[in-house]
Amino acid sequence: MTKLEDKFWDAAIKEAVTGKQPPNQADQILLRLEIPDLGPPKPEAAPKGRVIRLRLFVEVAVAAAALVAIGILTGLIPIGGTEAGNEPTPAPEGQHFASAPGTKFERIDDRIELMDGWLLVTTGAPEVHCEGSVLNKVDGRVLAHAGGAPSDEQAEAAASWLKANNLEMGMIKDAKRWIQAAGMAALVLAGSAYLDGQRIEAQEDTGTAEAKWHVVRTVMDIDRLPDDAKYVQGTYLKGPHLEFLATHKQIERLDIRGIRDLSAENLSVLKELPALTYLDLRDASWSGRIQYASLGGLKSLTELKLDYPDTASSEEVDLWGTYIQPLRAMAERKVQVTIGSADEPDGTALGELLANVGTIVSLDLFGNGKLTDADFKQVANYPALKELGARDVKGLTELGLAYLAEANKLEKLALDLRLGEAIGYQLQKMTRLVAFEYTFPASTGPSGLYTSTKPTAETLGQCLPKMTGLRHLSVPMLAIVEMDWPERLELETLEILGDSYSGRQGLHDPTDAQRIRVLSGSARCALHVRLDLRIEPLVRDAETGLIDFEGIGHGKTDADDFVAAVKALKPSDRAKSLDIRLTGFGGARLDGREIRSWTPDQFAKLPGLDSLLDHFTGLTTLRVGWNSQSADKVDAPLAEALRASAEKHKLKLETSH
Amino acid sequence: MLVTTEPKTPTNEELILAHQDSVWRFLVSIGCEPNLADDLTQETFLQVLGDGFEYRGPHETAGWLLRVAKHQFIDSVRKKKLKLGVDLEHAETRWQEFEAECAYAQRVQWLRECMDGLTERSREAVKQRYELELPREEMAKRLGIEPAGVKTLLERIRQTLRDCVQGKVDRDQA
Repeated sequence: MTKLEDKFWDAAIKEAVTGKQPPNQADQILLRLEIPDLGPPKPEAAPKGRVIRLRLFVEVAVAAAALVAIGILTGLIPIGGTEAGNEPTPAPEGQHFASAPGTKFERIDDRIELMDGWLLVTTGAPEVHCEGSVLNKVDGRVLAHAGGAPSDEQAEAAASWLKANNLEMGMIKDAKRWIQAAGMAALVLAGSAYLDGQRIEAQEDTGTAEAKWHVVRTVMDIDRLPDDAKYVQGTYLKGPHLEFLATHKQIERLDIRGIRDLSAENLSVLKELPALTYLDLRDASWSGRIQYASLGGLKSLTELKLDYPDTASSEEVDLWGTYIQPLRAMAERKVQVTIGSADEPDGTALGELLANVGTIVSLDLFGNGKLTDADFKQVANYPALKELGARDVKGLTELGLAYLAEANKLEKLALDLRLGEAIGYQLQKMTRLVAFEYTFPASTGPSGLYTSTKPTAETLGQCLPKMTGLRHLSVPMLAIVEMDWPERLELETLEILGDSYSGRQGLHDPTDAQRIRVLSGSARCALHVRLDLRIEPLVRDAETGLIDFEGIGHGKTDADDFVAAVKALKPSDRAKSLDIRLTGFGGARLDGREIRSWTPDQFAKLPGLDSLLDHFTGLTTLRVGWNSQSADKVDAPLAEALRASAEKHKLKLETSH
Repeated sequence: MLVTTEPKTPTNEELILAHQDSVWRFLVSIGCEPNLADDLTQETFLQVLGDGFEYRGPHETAGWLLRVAKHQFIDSVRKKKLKLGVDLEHAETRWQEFEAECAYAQRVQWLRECMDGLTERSREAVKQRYELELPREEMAKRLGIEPAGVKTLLERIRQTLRDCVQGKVDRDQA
């Protein structure tokens, strides 16, 4: 590692060269101190960082289902089902339907004959025929059931498939939501379709894809939760807040990642939530000893996410009594467990965890410096594991990867090994991988101290087409630029990692833009774009060339190059969602005025945003997140301006702040 | 008779104005991206001043702010699944020592003066590295040397600048 003092000197030299000084943020800070309460959340607010969570690894047991759930995809991952003849048949690439296990159907030319069971169809799907009824022109997502609306028993029989597609049982069982035709019933989850020539549309709150997450920060927010608030996300919460949350008996899913000052007593009050099925406790910090024993009181829980205990910073951690044993009890109840931040355990400790907790579906070993290749043999042979985060695991080499490849059970993998022939060989054997996130190792990059990323990118380009199950790929922009993009890659989502994931950030020259254009034209992908950008460019007009996308990553990004790149995306209508993380409020000045003094007009026009959105012709969703600045002077007018812009472009808008 | 005096408690504004530059520079120095440093600086003051803050003097306040800032940064790194490029143990203490050696603004000014004394090629290398942020390979092309030579050249330049500034510090203190 670099010595600290070297870093201090480097920063000083940089300031001497560039003249860039810290912004004066006193006003913003004082204002935020005066307004400790940031106001109640928007009822429809999406969970903060939802998009990031996609990238950051492991959300739902079936990664593809998670992607479908948040509406990024229009394609479907076939989960089960049998074409007439009862033989499991993988769906052809590019098809836009999925069938539940046991469903009988036949594909005849450009239509599907549904005989019995369930089909989930989406935009681009062939016509579905069933006993004389026809479902066609699907623009969105539609669930079809042969005959009529499903009975409760039929719904229960398909429960696991419905859950895998993130469809809420209560909604499925609600007969009023189904539209009955002569030969089948249809439930429009999103968008519209035609059933026997009649246009049918989604009701407003169908589907968990549109599930409303209620964001709470304060006791006031919690008190004001509506009676039907089933999904709750807490930000900036402390352990004692749970006592207030526990009064809302209707809560089913609770995401309290990053909660501070948590204690065993705080956690125990959650047993008052009889419907709680999902609990996310990752990134929690404890006020006393870590103790998960009280989780045993959560009788309805089916999904639990938590970190491996940070034994280094805790005085005493009784791993067995306070962690493994409670998790073992959870596993005996079939609760699916996600372990985040397992950078602590060595092979022995990890082995003990895996031996005792049999339902760990996801494990993130990011930053682990103690595991060796040999330890990955037990990881590879652990039956339940579907998702593995193996970035920055110092002891992992091609040997450890070979164990994982040999077992070939993983569906999702995050990796940052330097790729060469040997590691590429193992990756190609991982044919069950559905989602792959690759980032360059820290030792590569262009900062003047590192080695080139190009050989690794080229190897990646050779591996990808051979990873035949791959549908979701996340890679840094630099990887795309430096590899020969495989023409035959059939992706459903491609995420371009913009910030901090490659030594060189953003787009640098016109050839980069050209590469994106070629890529977007050839790949079967719904492009998911995420940008970190400063607020100021949004009130300027990108067409004038004034736009200054400093925010893409650490380094400077040439404004003209970026605009060229954005324009190069235009031929592709595959970009379905655009996520913008706004920063730089402290330094934002327009006509000499800081942002909280901006006029409504300055907020309202946002010509830079309009220009940006104009280039994404296939866009359906815009998500914008920022750290709350001032409820009335910034957050509200900015949200209003974004709403207007989204409306103009006919986009669904999700904001979080 | 022993007389003790409580340190006068500055206003929040005075505290922010006194320490915000240091917190921001500290964050950037330990690897925080400048935009994020803006946000984390705000969050640091919100956490410290909004949480039953008790003033115990400027040095202690600075230390506490830096400690909170460091943890904010570590949290953000963990959440983004990024890597720390440097060991941050006691980073806040070492930053305070670094600042105590000479005022940061003065150090920057002296660095500028010392850069004037560099050779033309060294000045060009500094520009390419710190202003243009060019990759090593590109720097090598432009400077007409091997990539490995770029690393050596930059290390030599840094040492030259440090020695130059240190000489000014020593003379100033003398």
